[in-house]
Amino acid sequence: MIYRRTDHAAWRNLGDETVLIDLSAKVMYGLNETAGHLWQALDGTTDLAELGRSLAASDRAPEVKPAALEDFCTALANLGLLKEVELDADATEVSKVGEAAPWPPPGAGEVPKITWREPIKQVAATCGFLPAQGGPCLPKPMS
Amino acid sequence: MRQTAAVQRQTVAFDLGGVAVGLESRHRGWLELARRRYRAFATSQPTQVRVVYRVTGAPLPSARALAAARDRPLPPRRRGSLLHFEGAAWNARFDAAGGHLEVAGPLSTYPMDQLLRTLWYSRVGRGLIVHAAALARGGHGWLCSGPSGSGKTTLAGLFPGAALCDEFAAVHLEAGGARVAGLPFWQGRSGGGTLEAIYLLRHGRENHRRRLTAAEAFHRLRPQISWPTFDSGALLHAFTALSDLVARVDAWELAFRPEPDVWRVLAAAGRA
Repeated sequence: MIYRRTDHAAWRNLGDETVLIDLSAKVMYGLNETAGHLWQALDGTTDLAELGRSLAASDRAPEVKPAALEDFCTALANLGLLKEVELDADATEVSKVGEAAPWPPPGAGEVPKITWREPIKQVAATCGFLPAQGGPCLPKPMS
Repeated sequence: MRQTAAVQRQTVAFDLGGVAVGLESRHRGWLELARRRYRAFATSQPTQVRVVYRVTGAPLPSARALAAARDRPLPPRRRGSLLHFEGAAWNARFDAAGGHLEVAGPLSTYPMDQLLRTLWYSRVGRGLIVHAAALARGGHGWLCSGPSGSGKTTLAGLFPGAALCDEFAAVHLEAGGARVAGLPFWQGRSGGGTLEAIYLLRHGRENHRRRLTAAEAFHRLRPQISWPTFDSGALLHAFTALSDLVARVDAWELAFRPEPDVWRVLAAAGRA
């Protein structure tokens, strides 16, 4: 099974975490380290089984079973962030933000998972009262 | 036949965090409200965005209705190249490419407050509008962010000579760094400076700051961003801008007592 990231998703590595943004659904996600590395490996050119084999062959993440990779990919596909594709050797990245992470991940292994999910909100769209004329948005003048 | 004198449109121009906005209307009363509302940000720069406001005569919504509209997102409808917005007793259409906004609403400036942030993002490629107070002195600036009640207005009130705004501030990403600028939400004045540090505020018994990692700063700031949800491209730019901002500018958690002494801690991150 080959998965590819959808065009409306972008991401950024922040330390051990990868933050993913769904530009279409306007939701952000946090991915743990293994998930972040796996996400970046899903570029439509490598079979998931092969990714699982390379992980199993490494001395990292021995507790991570291939089924865990598949569960993670299914979860992302259900969220519209991944799609199953035919092998596409010419697949090009559309919305990559940040550096690519190696696979398998260099650190101690953990089951790949989404650690948090948050809809993107617009903060305080307007003041409840006439702006700049007092009210809960303006508790105290500056001068 | 009675001749009616044509009422000419007049313009009020002001600086919106580095974007020059021209407000036009045939309604003198509305223009006077706009002039008063944005007088501290008046500019003579050529306008980059043109707004035409038509007063419809609709009554002002109740305070409750406006309060209910406070945190409601404004998803626009796209028709061709135009974005159409609807709010409490107003509607607007926006030509982002041309920098032209037409608004029809009551005799008040509150529709502009909701739309101005959309305008700003349509003109600024790499920047953010942050729920924050901005302070500036001698060309240096500091962004002081946090949820309601964390002390933004209190902090701004301690330093009226340095405070630019107490609710929303603009951050521009520039080569290698960033600049902060004041926005007219809800009081403020024009001005800015090189962004020396970002502070995530909380009240404390003593003035103390703790350095945050880039990841911590990203997570503390992201709920305080006025995200441009009206357009995926603008949203991507804002996401990238926040990621870059926390990588470039030192961020701290600042616990503070509401006393002027806090300036020594706040300004220590950069040149005072």
